[in-house]
Amino acid sequence: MSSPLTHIQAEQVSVRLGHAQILRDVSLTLRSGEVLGLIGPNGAGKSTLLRALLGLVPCEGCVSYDDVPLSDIPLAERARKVAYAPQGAPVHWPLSVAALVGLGRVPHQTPFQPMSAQDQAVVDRVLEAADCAHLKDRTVLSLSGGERANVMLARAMAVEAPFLFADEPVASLDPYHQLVVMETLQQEAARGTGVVVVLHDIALALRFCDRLCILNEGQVAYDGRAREVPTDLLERVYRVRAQAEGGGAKPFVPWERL
Amino acid sequence: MMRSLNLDVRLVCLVLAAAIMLCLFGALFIGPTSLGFAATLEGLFGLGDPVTQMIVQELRLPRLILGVAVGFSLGVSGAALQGLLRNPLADPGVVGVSASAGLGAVIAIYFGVAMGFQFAIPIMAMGGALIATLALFALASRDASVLTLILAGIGINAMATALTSLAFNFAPNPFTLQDMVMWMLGSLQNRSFTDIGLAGPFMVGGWLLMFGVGQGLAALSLGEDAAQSLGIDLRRLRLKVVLGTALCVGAAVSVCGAIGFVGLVVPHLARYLIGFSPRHLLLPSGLLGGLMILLADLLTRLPFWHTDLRLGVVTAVVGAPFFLYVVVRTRGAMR
Repeated sequence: MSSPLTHIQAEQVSVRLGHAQILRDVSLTLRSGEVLGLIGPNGAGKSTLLRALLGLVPCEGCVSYDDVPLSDIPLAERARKVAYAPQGAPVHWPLSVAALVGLGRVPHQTPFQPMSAQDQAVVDRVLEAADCAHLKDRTVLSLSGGERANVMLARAMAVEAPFLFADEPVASLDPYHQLVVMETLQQEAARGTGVVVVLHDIALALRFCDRLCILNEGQVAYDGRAREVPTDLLERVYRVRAQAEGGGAKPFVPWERL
Repeated sequence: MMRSLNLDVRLVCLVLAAAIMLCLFGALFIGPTSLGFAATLEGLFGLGDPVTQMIVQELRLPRLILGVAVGFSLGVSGAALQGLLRNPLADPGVVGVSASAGLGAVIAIYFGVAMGFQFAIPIMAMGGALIATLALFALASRDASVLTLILAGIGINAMATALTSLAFNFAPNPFTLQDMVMWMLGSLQNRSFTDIGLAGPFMVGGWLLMFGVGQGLAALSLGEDAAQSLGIDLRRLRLKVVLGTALCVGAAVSVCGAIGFVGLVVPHLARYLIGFSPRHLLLPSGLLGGLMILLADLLTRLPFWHTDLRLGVVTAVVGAPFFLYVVVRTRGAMR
C-alpha cells in the first residue's frame, strides 16, 4: 500500500440533497485494520455518508484523512487512500473482467502508462481473493448479478488503498458467495485495511463486523462493538420484532413487523 | 454479439499509419490531369515542369493532407465523445458544434460575404463553432451531469439546423441556394495550404487537449462516482473533451463542410480491432478516420461520375449502412 492512512474522521457532517436533509451532524471515526458495518433502514443515509467521506457529495462539517481536511487532499491522492465499490455500479462497455479489475490500478498510473507487471500481479491476486479468477477472460456483460458484484469488489480491492468502502457488496449474492465476500473483507482488514461495508443483512453484520454504526434518519443511532448492539435498538430502528438466537454471534432474525 | 480481434494497439496504429502514408503517396498520382509517375515525383520535390509542380504541390498535396487531418479530427472526437457520454451512438454532431459551424458558413454565403473575402467561410464557420461551444458551456457548466450536456448539445444542434433551413428557405437566388447546399455536403476540392494554415492549429490544439483523456474515459466506464473515486476530475475531463471536439470539428467543418458518419463509425471499427476499453481508442480512431476520408475522397475523384460527387455524400452513403451493420452486430453486447 503506497499511501499510509490510519484513520478517517467525520465531524458534524450534514448533507442536504435538494430539499431533503439526508445526513444530520454525523460524527464517526474509521480506523485501519477493522471491519466497520454501516447498517440502517432504507433511506437512512448510508450510501450518502460513504460518498461524503469520499468527497463525492458536498457536505457541511469536516471530513479529514489523518487529520488533514479532505479538501486539502488532491483527487489523485484521495484515490490512492480510499477505494470505493459503489452500490449497483454500471459498466458501460463490454470490457473483459481482467480489464475492468485493472481499472483499479488507475490511481497508481500516469495517463499514458500501460499496466506494469506489478499491476498485473495485483489484479491476479485480487481476482483470486474475490473468488473470480475463473472469470478473468469473460466479458463483464456476460456475468450474472452475483458474479458481477464479486468482480466489482475485486476492482475496488485492486486499488490496494489503506481504506476500502463497499456499498452493499452482498446484495445480489447467494449465501455461499455472501460468505466469500465477507471473509474476503475480513482478510483485507487482517492485512491492515480499514473496511467499511454497507449491509442490509444484520446477521452478516453481527457476525463479520468488528464494529457497527447504525444510521437512522440521517443520524448515528449506535456506534460501537458489533457484539454489544442492543437487540431492542435494532428492533426500534428497523421497526421489526426480532428473534435473537444462539450464543455469541446473536443472529438477528426479523420475525414480524412492529 | 460484437466481437473484437483484440489486436495489439501499437501494431494496429503502425499498420494504419503505414496505410495512410501509402494511400497518401498513391493518391498524389490520381487526378483529372494524368501526369505520369516520374513527372508527379519531380513535381512533388519542386523539379520539372512548373504546371506539374503547381498541380502536385498546390492542389493534390494540400487536399490529401487536409483530408487526413480532418478525418483524424473526426475520428478522435467521435471516440472521445462516445467515451465521455458512454454512448455508442454519440458523434461530434451531438454537441451541436458541426451544425453551428455549418450555419456560420451558410450565413457567409447567404449574405455574399464569401464573394468579397476569400476566408469569410472558414472564419465565420469557426465563429459559429465558437459561439456553439460558449453556449454549450453556458447551458451545461453548472451541472456536471452528462445528460445536461447531451440535452444542451441537442438543443444547439436543432437551433443551428433550423436557422440553416431558414437560410435555405429564404435564399436570395437559386445560385446562392446551390452554393449553400453544395457547401453543406462537404468537399476537399481546391483546398490549399492556406486552408491548412487556417484550420490546422485549431485541429492540433484539439488533438493535444484530447490525447491525455483515454485513462479518464476508461475509468468513466464504471460510472461517474467510481471514476471520481479513482482520482478522475470529471469537470476537467469534460472540458477537455468538449473543447477539444469543438476546436477539431469546428476547424474541420470550417474548411471542408459537413462530413457525417466518420466520427460515429470509426470508433466502432477501432473497437473491433483493439477491444472495447476507451483507454486506447483515440489514436487508432484518429488514424482510421484519416484513412477513411482519404479513401472516400479518392472515390469522389474517380473518373466515371458525371457530376461533382461530394465527400460528405460518400461518407454518409458508405457510413450509414455500415453503422446499421454495427448496430446489428452489437445488439447483444451493448445492453
